[in-house]
Amino acid sequence: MSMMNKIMDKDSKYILELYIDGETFISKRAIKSIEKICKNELNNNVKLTIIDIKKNPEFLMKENIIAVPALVRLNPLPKRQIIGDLQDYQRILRGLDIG
Amino acid sequence: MKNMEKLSTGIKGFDDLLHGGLPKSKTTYIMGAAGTGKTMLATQFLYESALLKVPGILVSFDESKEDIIGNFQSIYMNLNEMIENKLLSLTHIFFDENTIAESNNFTLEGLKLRLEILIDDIGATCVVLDSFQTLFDRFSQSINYRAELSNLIHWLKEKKVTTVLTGGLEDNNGLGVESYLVDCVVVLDQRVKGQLSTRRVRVVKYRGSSHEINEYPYSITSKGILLSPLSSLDLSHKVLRSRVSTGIPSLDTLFGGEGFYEGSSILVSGEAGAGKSSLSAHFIRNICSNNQKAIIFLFEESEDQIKRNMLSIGIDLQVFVDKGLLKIFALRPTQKGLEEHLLNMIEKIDSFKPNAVVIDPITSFWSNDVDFAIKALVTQIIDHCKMKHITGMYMHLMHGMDNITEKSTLISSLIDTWLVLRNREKDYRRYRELYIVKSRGMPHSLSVHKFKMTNDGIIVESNVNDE
Repeated sequence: MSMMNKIMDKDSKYILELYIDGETFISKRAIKSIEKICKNELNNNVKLTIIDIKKNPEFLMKENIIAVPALVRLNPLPKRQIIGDLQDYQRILRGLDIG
Repeated sequence: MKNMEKLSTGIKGFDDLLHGGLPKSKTTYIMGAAGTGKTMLATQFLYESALLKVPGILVSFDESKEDIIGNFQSIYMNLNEMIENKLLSLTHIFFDENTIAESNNFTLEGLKLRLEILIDDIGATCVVLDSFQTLFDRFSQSINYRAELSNLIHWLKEKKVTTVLTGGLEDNNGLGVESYLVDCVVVLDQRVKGQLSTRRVRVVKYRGSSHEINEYPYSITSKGILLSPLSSLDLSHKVLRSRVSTGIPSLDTLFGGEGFYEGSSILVSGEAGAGKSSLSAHFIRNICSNNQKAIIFLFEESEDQIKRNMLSIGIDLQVFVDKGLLKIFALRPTQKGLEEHLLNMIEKIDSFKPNAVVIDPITSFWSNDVDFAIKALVTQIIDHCKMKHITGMYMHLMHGMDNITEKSTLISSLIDTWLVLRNREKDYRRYRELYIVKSRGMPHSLSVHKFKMTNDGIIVESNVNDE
């Protein structure tokens, strides 16, 4: 598995995966945004994996990825997928059930 | 116009509308409301291609793989076999409510990559996305979804795959797939008229190719989508010179002693009770007695009724049914959509391969509220029989003698022999009379002849003035 970035904590409450397509402008914006959320809102109590779909196409089927960037919340359940470059801070928090 | 490469849909009548088939390596959009058979048409195309060893993939956004396979099992298409032979792959991509689009900045690279994997896996050259509408709706709250979807269509073109997208009809806001993005647009339509549901297909556009522009009836049958082929409508078919008896020796004499031409079409007009069915029964008895096959399509009587009635004039149809020489189908025009009846008739004719066909009466398809397309289909059946050298006898039920030319002329150009039966009253008695309006290519009687219905059948009196 290729990981561009990884923030780990043993008791991570949140397990997130961010799917991107190469190092595009949109990808970079999405990464920047989710890292900010992890730090500011989740106190780094999160396991975040960033996955490039071209390098790891097998993950496309597993998480039913169609559009990218896509942020998948694996934990807590239920699974949730947020599509886009993650610029609407409030919407992301709502989508992740934070706050 | 330069001939473009086309891919047969495997449905003969549909290929005819498309003047050959779908545009190869290009995109076709099949539009239609729920229940019009979009999925069936698209999947049938993949199945037929697979039969010709052309591999294809179906990506469904609506139905599970098992459901699709199950649906097609019921129309005798074994998709599993094609899947095992790597000629077909089915994938279900679903969206649940836990997937949300957060912003306008996304691409469909994930889907493209998945399609690419599926395409490469079996070397597919055909792709069906069913329904494209579902994909469309999923992302329609974002601003850039249209750009992304057109991007996807362009990408499919670059991949050089023949693509079929399905979707609903455009709504009033013009939402739907922009038709300028695709090369061919087909509209499937289902409408209700006089409590009868009818289905129509129309090719709206076909970039770089000619196509039929009218609406044509189609039907969803136990064998999938059925459209009647158009190609036989030219007049280049060969005619037979051999003759076939009318089954009534005294009637044969009015046709120079030899009866009808084999493979010709005969119209028998008459009011109720004029003896039309009896006349056709004589004809059928003669055919089957010579060990040839025949079909009778009944629209106003049951099979039992006609057997009983014909027995009263000494004709036992059951004998021929038992021998497997005669098939009788009693149908109600209101039971199904009219086009379904007509298409089924063509199917039955093609599988039984009879020497003669009787449609009694053909006027069931002729009432005033029957539209042009149905009339065209009736013409097609007559034409179809002619092409296959099947002698066709068509019963024309008249209401009063006044309208004899009006309705019949609709098909009169296709009719080779036209007989009229009528009842006359004179001195408190009724007489049966018949005369020949026309009989192409042979000398025939020009007189009005009296005829009798006896226990031994019809006897036509010769007319002294005729000789």
